[in-house]
Amino acid sequence: MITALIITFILLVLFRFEIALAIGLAAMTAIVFFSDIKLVVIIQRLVVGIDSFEFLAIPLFILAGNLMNAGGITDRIFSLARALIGHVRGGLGHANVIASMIFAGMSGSAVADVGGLGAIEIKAMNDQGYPKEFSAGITVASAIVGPVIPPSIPLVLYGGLAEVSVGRLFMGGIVPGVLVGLSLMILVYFLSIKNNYPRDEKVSITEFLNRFFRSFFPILTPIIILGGIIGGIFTPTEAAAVAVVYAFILSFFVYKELKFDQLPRVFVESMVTTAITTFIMSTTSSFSYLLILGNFSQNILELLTSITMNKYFMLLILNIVLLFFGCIMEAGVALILLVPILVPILEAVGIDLVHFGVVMTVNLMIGVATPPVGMGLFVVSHVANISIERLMKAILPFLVPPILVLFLITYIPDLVTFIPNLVFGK
Amino acid sequence: MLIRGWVHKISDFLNRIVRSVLFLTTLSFAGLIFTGVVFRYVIKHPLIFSVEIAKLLFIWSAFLAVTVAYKEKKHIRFQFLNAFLKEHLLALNELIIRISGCFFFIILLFYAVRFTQAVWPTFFPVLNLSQGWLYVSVIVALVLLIVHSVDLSLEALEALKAGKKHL
Repeated sequence: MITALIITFILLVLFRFEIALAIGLAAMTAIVFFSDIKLVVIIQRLVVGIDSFEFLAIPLFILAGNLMNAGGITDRIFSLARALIGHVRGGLGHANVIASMIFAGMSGSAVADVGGLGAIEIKAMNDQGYPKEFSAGITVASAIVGPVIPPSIPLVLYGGLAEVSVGRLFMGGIVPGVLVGLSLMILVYFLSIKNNYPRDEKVSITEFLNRFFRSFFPILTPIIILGGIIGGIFTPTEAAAVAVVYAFILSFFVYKELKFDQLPRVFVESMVTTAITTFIMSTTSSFSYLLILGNFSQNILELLTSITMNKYFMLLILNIVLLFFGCIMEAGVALILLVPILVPILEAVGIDLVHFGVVMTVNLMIGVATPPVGMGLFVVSHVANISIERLMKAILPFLVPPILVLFLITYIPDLVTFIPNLVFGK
Repeated sequence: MLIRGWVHKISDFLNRIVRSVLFLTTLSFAGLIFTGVVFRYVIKHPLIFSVEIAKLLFIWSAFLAVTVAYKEKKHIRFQFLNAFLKEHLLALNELIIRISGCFFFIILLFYAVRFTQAVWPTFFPVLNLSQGWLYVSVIVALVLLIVHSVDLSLEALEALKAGKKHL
């Protein structure tokens, strides 16, 4: 049954079936022809797959990001980042990374980052004469930070699937997210010196304060979200709803850039973006159910533990496998498919689930910037008007720092677990 | 041609209605969760039903949004074959996908109705509402997906006949 399930799925995906449909059809084929299970199980699993209060955070964080994009908040954030660091050689490259790190604290989606901030950043960099390859490359790479620094949609997904505290995962993402950002800035610095990229005039204190106050309320968002979660005031899902209301108040009432007639489109598009993931989660629920019945996890566990029982070597194997999956699969899909299979393996080898959740997220987020399915590449290719082939080549040096950080956080678990342990206790 | 026109109009019309409903359901569950926080911490009177209603609205929103994404071809799929297949073969491939999708949804619809009938006598603990309402969202979504599949199948057939690339 397992062989039929997997072969059918791969064939359907290769023949351009939508992934959710391919998973559902593969499950149906396996049930009808290779098992005694009743087909009605697919219906039950369709709802069970998404019937969790944690998953409500997904559309809400996407919505918060989209409201901020529509309300011109991204513009203010980039302007602040530029005032902060634009005067350094290659200033707009640094500002690009800093803006992504600030925006990451408000939205949980890499695509919201490149879609909103990306357009502003690339235009500014083009105007200052940066090569298209550099501006597009750093824009895609800096989007990796988005879903690592909390709030994070992949971490919500992982938390729901692995039954791990989303609050702990959020705290665990802070240091790795900042490290990815800083490592990218180091690369930008050296490339800028080498290529003599331009820099902004240093802004006066008055101008800096002006820009700071223009974006003061938006940059409070992560403090509200994380403060609320740490203080036990609300759950991550409730924090997402608070972020939505806060983004709406800022965009609509304070800055008055969001118009009432934009609201239906913003809400609907956020939910449609969510549905792309939830449909896969729904159909994958019966797929995973069949894998469990067929002892697939157990077989993989036996295979891996026959190779090694050393958790550090196991982490190396898993990282390589995940980097491969990240290249060929959208991060959400990879999480939904792999987490239920990996959790028993992690528990057997004694790998901390919070540590691995953050490692897995950083790993899969690198896939946002890698061909052939990196969503970040496609969005930026369109925004920057650069061919996907040129962008694929341009992105390569920018992948080195995140991969180095990935291995750093893999082998120094405290970089991930220190803050969650400090905040929530061991 | 006439049938294609009508099916397309019905599919478009249903999609417009779903988009409007989707705005209201998404707005409602976002508002409800926020209201739950306000009631718990400001008014000191927790809304015990808010989680169950929010989850129900989320599931309805998720399944309705699946139909919009399907109609507007936004679901994720791999495009490896585009580089290898000629235009008319791609159009044929698309037609097969749409017809397979349609059959898949019809079979699921049959079981969704049976399952909904089976769970109808079970209730949400707080709301005292039938849990069948969760699965009614699946039935509604499947009906919409079937209509959109027929529309997209006819569109693919037209493209195949015209011999042009269809993505």
